[in-house]
Amino acid sequence: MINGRRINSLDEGRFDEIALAIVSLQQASLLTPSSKLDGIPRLNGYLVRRESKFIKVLESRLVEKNFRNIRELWLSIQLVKVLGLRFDNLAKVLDHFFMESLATKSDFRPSIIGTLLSLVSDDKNSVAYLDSLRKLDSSELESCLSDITFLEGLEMVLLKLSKYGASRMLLTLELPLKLETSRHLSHRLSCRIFHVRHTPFERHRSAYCCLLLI
Amino acid sequence: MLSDIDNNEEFSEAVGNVFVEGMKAPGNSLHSKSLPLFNALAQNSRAVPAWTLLIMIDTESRQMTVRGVLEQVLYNTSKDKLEPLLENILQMLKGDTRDLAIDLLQVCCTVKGGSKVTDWSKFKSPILDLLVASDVDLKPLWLLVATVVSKSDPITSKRLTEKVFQRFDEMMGQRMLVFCRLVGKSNNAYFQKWVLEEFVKYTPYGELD
Repeated sequence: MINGRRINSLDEGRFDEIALAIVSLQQASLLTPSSKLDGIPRLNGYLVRRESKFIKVLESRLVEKNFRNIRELWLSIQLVKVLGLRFDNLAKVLDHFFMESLATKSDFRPSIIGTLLSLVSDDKNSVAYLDSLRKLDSSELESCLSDITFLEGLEMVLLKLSKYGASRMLLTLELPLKLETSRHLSHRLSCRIFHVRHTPFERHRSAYCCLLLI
Repeated sequence: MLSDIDNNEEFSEAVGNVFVEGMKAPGNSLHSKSLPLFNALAQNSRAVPAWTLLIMIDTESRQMTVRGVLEQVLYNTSKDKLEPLLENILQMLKGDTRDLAIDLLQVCCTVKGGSKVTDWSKFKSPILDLLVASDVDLKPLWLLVATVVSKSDPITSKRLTEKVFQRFDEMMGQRMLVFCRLVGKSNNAYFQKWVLEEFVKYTPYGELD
């Protein structure tokens, strides 16, 4: 079988090449992250076999936390997002990486945290993740907020909360920030979040504004 | 005449016009002598041993003239009369004018959005032959491959994509990414329909060892 022949010759080096190709295509907007919740890996709707060597290598790297450097971790997390991959213990593994990323200083950190935020599965985890973000000092948080992936992840995780919860969390995050960054964040996120939900948001927006004034 | 072109744009244009007028025939057609004339132009503009930078610059300006002539001819000739010229350029891939022919085919594929090419299937076999040749300049070649896949009819595009991905077995790396990105950029629909399908077959499908 020709496809089998192809994939059977896949080694670690080739995995990285293919992984980079997938992420590059996503960055060029040619691939969109899978939005299906069934956890079956897909590339723009094309099913990817869970038993393929590519997925096995990815899963084993994640489960065994087997990364030579933080770039490899970044690449693997990007793949999880693009493919929409889910498997047992993935949430636990991602929790671990989230905590580790908060403690690691690297150029990849904002992007990794942002991607992990966008992969959060439920409200409970969302609150826990956002609470953990407070471990970052104001300068670290400021630098994260200049990263588009981080902002997108933050936006996605806030959207999973109730409006009150989102307002409170946003406020908590903004408190240690410089006024200018805080304004920028309020402008970007509060409008998006409260408009996107299509429910009576004005009240929440006012509450959020009142909280800001306090 | 060609050897006198150097970097003189006006002279180059004038020489080009002589050839364009010489190749024309009434009714947006090609003169019976147009192919020998074009071949003579192409042969004389081909790369000569690069003893000096000056010679290379000279060669480049000659080849620019050939490209200019081809563009003019493509614009002025109806597409059903162009087939002999396209076949002639495909034949040039076999000789020492190969690199120039790749450039010229790129021009054929892009002038008027590729609408001057009537039978895209003729590109398939010569392009696949080029992919296995080891001494081809890769950038123009992959640009041509991606252009043909993007502009051609769906059947040729799909078949060529399948064959191109089979070639990746032996020579992987950045080329696959470049190919995918180029097709995605110029024809997103074809990218989503079959390039991505082949990419998925190539990468994550398949059995375990």
